[in-house]
Amino acid sequence: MRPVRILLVDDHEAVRRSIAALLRIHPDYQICGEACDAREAIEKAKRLLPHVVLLDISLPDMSGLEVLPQLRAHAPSCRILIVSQHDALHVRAEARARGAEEFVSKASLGSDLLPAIQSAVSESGEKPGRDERHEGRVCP
Amino acid sequence: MATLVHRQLDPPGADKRTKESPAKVQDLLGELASRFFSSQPLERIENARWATNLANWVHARQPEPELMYRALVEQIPAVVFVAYLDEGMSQAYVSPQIEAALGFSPGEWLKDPILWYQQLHPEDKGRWSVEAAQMFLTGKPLTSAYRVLSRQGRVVWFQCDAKMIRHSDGSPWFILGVGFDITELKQTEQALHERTETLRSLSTRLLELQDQERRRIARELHDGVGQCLVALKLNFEMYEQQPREELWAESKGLLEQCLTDIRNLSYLLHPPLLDEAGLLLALKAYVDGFSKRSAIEAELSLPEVLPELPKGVEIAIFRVLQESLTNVIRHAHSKRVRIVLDCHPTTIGLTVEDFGRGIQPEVLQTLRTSGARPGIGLTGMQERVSELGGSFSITSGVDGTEVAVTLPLPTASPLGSNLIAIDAGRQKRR
Repeated sequence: MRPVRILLVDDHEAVRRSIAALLRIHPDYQICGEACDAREAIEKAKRLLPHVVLLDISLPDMSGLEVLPQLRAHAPSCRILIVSQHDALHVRAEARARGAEEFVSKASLGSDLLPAIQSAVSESGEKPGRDERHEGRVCP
Repeated sequence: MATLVHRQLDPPGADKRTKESPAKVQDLLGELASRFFSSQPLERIENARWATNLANWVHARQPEPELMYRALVEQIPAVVFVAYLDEGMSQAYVSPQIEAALGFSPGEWLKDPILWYQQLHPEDKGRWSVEAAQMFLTGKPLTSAYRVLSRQGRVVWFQCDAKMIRHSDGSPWFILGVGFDITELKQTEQALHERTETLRSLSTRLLELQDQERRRIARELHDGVGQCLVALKLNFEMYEQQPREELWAESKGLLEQCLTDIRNLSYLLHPPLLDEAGLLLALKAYVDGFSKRSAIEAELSLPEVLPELPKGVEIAIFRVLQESLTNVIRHAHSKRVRIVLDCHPTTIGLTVEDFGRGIQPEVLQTLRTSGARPGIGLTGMQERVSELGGSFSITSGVDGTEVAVTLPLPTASPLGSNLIAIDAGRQKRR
C-alpha cells in the first residue's frame, strides 16, 4: 500500500519541522507538501491532492476555519485535521461543523496526532495520490 | 442724566395704566434681577444688591419716580426692555445698554418693530416662539438664553428673564424683561465642552492603543513563544521514544528562540534596564541588541551625563527609539542608522536617522495632516510626546528618514545635580 500523503499547513516553521520529524519515522505517512498560509494551502491542495491536510487555525492571511471549506471544495476526498493551540473545547465543534474530520491540540501532538490521522484515513479508506514527491513551501 | 425713553411707557388707555403702581414695576425689576443674579458669580450678585439697594432708596425718598426708575434700569449691567402685547408685540422701551451690547441705539431698536426678531439668531427663533407662547398661555415667567446678532454680526448670548404683566381684567398688557449678556460665560462653557470632548477622545484613543498593545503582546505570546514550546514539547516526546541527535539540536535552537521571544516581549511591556540602570545604559543595550539582531550598523551618540529625568520622559525617549528602529528594520531598507541623544538645561532631544528608501510622500502627508494611522507605532509616538508637551517631527526623502523628538524638562532638574553618567558600559548616579 502506498503511504498516506499529507499536506502540512502551519505558518510556524519550528512546528512544521517537528511534525515532519514525527511523521518521518512512520513509513505509512509521507509529507507531500508544506504551506505557511491559506493561499499556498489551497494551491497545493489542488495540485498535490493529498489524502490528509493538517491545518493550523492561526494563519497569517486567513483563519484555518475560513479556508477549510475552500480546501474541501478543491480537494473533496481529502481528510482535513485541524491542528491548533486554541482550546479544543471551543474549537472542536466549530471545526467539525465546517467539515474537519478531527481536531488535534498542539499541546498533545505527540500522543494524539498519529491516532487522529489513522482514524481519519481509516474512515475514508486510503486513496492514491497523484505524485509521491515531497514539495516544500514557497513562502518565506 | 439723558432722557432715553423713546416711546411712552404707558399704553393707550389711562384707566388701565393707573391700575399698575410704580412700586409694582419696581418690585418686578427687583424680582427679575434677583432671580437671575442668584445663579451668577459674586461680582454680579454685588450688582444685584446694588440695584436692589438703589430701588429701596428710590422708594423710600419718593423722588421723581420716572427719573429714579430710569436711573435704576440704566445703571444695572443688563438690557431692560418693555414690549406691548395688545397690538402684536412691539417694543416700548429698551434701556441704553443695548448699544454697548449689540451696536444699535435704543432709537434704532424701537423704530423698527421687527428688528429685535430679525436680530434673533435663526437657530433660536423656533425655541423663542415656543417659550414665549408658554409664557402667554400660562403666565409663567420666561427664563431662557438666546443668541442675538449684533450690528456687526457678532453672536451675543443673552440670559433673558421676562414676565408678562396683565391688566386688572386679566388681559395681557406688556412684557417686562431683562437681558444679561452672558456671552463670556457661554464661551467659557463652549471651551470647557470642547476640552471635555478632547479629553474624551484622548481617553478613547488611549484605550484603543492599550487594546492594540495587548493584542500585539497576545499575538507575540501565541505565535512566538507558544509555537516554540509546542515544537519543543513534541521534540521531547519523540526524543523519549527514540533519542536522536537532530532532535536534541533542534530543541536547543527552539529554547534559544523562546529566550529571544521572551526577552523581546519583556521589552515590549517595559524596558527592563530602564529602572535598574537608567536611560543611558538601557538605550545603549537596546541599540547593541538591535545591531546584532538586524545586522544594521548603528552609530549612537549619547551625552556623558544626564540629569535625573521624569520617568515619563525616559519611557517616551526609549519608546520613540524602539519604534523608530522597528520601522527601520521593517520599512527603511537601510544598512545603517544614526542615533543622537542631546540634553540641554530645559529640553532633551532624540534624533533617529536612517539612510534607506524613505517614506512615500502620500503616507508622510497623511501622517502630518491627520496624525493618524500609517503605522500605529508612529501615531503612538506622536501622542506620547504630545502628552508630555514635546514636539515630534518626521522628515523623509529618497535618501532616508529622520525622526526627531524634543521633550521639555522640569527646570528643577538642572544639569549638574543628580547626574547620571555612563562610563565604560556602566551607568551610575553621582
